[in-house]
Amino acid sequence: MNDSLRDGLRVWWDGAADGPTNMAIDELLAGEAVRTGGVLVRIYAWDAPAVSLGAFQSITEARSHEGLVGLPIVRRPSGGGAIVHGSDLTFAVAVPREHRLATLPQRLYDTVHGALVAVLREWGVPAMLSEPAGTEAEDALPLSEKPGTGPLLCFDRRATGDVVIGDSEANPPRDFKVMGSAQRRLPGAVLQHGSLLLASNQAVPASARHRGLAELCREMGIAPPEPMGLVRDWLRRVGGGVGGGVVEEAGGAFVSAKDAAVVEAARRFREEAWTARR
Amino acid sequence: MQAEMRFAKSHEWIRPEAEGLATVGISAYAVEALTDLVFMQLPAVGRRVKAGESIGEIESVKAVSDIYSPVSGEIVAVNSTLPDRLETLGKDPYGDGWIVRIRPDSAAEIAGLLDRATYDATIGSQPH
Repeated sequence: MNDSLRDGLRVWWDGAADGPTNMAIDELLAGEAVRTGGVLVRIYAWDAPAVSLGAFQSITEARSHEGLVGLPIVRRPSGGGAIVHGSDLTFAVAVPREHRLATLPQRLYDTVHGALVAVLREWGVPAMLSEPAGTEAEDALPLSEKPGTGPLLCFDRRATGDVVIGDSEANPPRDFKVMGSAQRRLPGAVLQHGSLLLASNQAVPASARHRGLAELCREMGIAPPEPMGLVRDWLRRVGGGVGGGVVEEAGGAFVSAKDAAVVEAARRFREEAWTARR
Repeated sequence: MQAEMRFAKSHEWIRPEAEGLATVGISAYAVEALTDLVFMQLPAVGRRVKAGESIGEIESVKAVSDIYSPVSGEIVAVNSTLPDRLETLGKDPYGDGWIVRIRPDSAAEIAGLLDRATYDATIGSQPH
């Protein structure tokens, strides 16, 4: 590992913002990782239910989806499937490219997702990392079998390393995805977006069928983990995987939504040319 | 021919061809690291690019990555069938998996890139 890199994890508990602002701040987060040589996590929310679309997903498909009518859509720089935000915990992880976690895409996935699996198990929840088989939706084939396409929504997809809850030994498997992530590999840093589905989002038809952590635990007769406690345990575990402790920082640690740099960066994410690029 | 191949630190390769052209692709290491590829966007023919500038994007199940031009020049051809058969990148990254042909502004720019031995040593020394 590069000696100039900082060990440990800086965690930034941010507030709520609209989609373009959130994407802009995440991009600046990646720049901050390059500048400091450290691994950063931003935990944030959305000022209203919204959809974030993967970098190359079809805007036509998203806008014509009956279950997403009326929701604002922002396109992420990262890949993966569309996420309906509102009942999830959204996060971004930024890792300098020279860091050992940034060398291979799966390495960062496994560190972030594996930490959640370990912590969920400590809370008594039967969690595991997914193999690319077993689905909760009929059309949720592993993407490797459907190159160039796949279900629109992230929580209808299944990739190796997703966090699932349930019984994968059952036939057919009865496990359900609760965390997925997608990366953008930038010149100086890797930016990973992720979402932990805390509860089912009944307000949005497209995602109402996706059971969240709360519903799945109740169905299994397990007390649902207290979200903030769970997340703090998870971050501590991620910090251990990064090779150090966790430093928590309040909102505005290095940038705020009103900063000129954020407003300027958000402009691109508001443009139709970006949103409808595919 | 492969002895003349050069590599960028960002994992693109470039191979001089006849008539002052050069072929560009991404290394086997990069393809393997990305895992299952699902989408690729190519540049427009005729576009002028600078060394290090993005000439396309490639998405895998895990990540979206830019493809950077290893040299400055003009894009004169793209492998237009590649996005529909991305498996070619894994099967033959230095042959049929080529991505663009470029007319470099300067041959010296190619010579300044990494030779295969140096590139192999670079990826072999990636932090574990």
